[in-house]
Amino acid sequence: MSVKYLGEAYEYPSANRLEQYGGDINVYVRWERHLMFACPAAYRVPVAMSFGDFVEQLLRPDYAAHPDTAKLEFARCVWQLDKAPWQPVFSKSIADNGIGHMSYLSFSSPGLDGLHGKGY
Amino acid sequence: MAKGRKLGLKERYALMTRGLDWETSYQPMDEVFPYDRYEGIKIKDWDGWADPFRLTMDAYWKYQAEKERKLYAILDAFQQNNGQLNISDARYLSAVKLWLQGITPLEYAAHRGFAHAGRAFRGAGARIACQMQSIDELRHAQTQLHAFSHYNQYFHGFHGFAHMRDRAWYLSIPKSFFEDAMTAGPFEFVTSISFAFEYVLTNLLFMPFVSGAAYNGDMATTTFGFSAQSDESRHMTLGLEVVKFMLQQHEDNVPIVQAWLDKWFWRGYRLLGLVGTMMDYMLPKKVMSWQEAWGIYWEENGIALFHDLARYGIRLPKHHDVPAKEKHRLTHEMWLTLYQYGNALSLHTWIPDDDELDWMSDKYGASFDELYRPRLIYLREREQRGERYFNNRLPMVCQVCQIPMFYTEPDDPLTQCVRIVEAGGTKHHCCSDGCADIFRHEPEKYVQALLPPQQIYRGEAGGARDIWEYAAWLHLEKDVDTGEYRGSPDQQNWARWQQAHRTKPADAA
Amino acid sequence: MADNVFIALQNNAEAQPIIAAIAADNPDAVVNASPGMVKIDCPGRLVIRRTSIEAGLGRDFNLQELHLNLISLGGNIDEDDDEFVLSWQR
Repeated sequence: MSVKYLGEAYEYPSANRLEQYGGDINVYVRWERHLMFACPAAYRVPVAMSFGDFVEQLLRPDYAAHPDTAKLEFARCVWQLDKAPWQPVFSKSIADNGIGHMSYLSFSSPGLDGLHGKGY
Repeated sequence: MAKGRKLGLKERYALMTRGLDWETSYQPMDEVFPYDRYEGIKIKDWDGWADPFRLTMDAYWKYQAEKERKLYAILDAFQQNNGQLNISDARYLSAVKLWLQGITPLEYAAHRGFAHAGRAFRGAGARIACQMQSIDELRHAQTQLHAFSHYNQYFHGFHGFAHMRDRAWYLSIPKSFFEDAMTAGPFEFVTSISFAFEYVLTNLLFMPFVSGAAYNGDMATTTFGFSAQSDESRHMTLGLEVVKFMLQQHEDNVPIVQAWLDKWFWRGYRLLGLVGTMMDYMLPKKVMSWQEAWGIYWEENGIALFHDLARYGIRLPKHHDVPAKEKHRLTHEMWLTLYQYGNALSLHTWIPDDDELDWMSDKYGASFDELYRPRLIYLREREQRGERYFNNRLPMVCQVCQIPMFYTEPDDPLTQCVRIVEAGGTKHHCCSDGCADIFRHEPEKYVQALLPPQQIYRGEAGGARDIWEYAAWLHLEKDVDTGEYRGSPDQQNWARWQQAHRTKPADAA
Repeated sequence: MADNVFIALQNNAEAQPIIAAIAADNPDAVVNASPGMVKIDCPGRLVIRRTSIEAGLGRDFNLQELHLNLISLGGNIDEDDDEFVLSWQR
């Protein structure tokens, strides 16, 4: 390791461990070319929740302010999980979709390109 | 009786301050000074340390006391003459609130950090310089509190700075910066704070804030700032001296120092984005743009410094080209971020007036008019129809700098920059290659970071389940301390006081 | 072309003789005033001479009194009783 330290050892666990979440996980989600939502958003999600419920009950209300949201269909979006192409199964659970603690999801919405089509 | 020759400054100083320490005999020196070798920095001869400002303690007290007398006389006059009425506009106070919440606690942290360094170095000259700086930093914390306290009587958002220090999501940005330095060894601490922050980058902190205060009629902050800056010049010279000393003492120190400069240039740059955003958006009367300030204080002054260090084998910091790519858009992206998270900020945000937008077009040119002006106009229109935009969802923040990840790719302003870094089988996220490099160099340190969104989700923010409960836990009152400026009590009070200030007393007809 | 050194001083009455002395002793210096502050840039080297300040001030001056009006500076410092010098060494 590169950390210089005094003493016998320098071993500390992550401050954000799965076991601290009681069956939930942290998931982060970005809607590409919609910079009105300035940052990827952070969620705490039960692993048994269906992916379909996740996007409709958690994501969609968060996007209410954007004019594109009325036309947003998650099933028609192009998805990535940790920057690799990925196809969610909306009927399956978060866990069964291979989404784990600290996963990063991003999606683009073809035909919906942000405010004035300029990515905002 | 023959008169002796009068001693010069250098000789006097050497006689008065050298030879007062000693090699310990009851305990080995390494036991008395256990912290100054583990970083790998090799010092062959501590007598090579040169004090550029040759201040003895009596001179220190004399000049500091004189500065304090002048400062407090001005603060008295400011308070007695209702100086708060002379600021350009109450929006300006978002800059002062940002400073009180974000910087003043860092002054106190610096006081503690330099007290530790002032015990840790085995060289007496270095210890004395750190001890003086520790007192200076405590002075800065105190004088800032005195200067700003007057505003707390008239405006909101000032009351909670101490309570918020360990609780407010955005204050983890400056706090983690300093704690990263304080948990390092004494050589890295002084390199990061005295050199990188207080020499290389200080002008990008003090000049904008203090000039901003002067341009906006804030005599209290201006006076504090200029009074503190003369202390800063001592700090700057300590920083430069420590870096040159390390580089001259042993060639093995060069790669260690280079790695620290790479890290702390980047961390300092990320932190200063808040200052740039303050300059461009929170000052009703603008001093200069962030882009201009970066051009003068880094691209001219900072690079001149690194040219000087080249003779020791030091090169420009890694990723130094990225700020140049970001400088035309950083503040717009950051303001739009602060604006939307306004329900959990203890300062107001707003959309600038048209004359301010025109200033930004003039300063920033085509990219502002193409990308950011339309967004600001759109948000203004929303506000005017009663749908002022807020985002109440927690953001992803960077594992290293802890800033919400709004930064776009250096070469693509429409794509958020996300870097995934792994350590111990867990994924973490960074805002940039700069922060990702820092993480990868010391992952065992950064996996311990307490990131506010994660803490909130783990129930560590008083169990708050949404942004409203969170703001209440911060002791913030909705739309009084937080939220939109227009319509706030600060804005309404300001309008009323300015009207009363201008109205002539009733004359005889 | 040499990189600039600089010194910034408070723009108050006390500092005027210091600013004047610096400008007179450093012909290549550029003096820029803004609210509350004067910034003086000079290529390569800038010297502040005690005797020059005393001539304008009308009393003895200790160069360490610079601390009372100094805001910021850039460059390597060399200081004795008579001169305070900022420079970039090559």
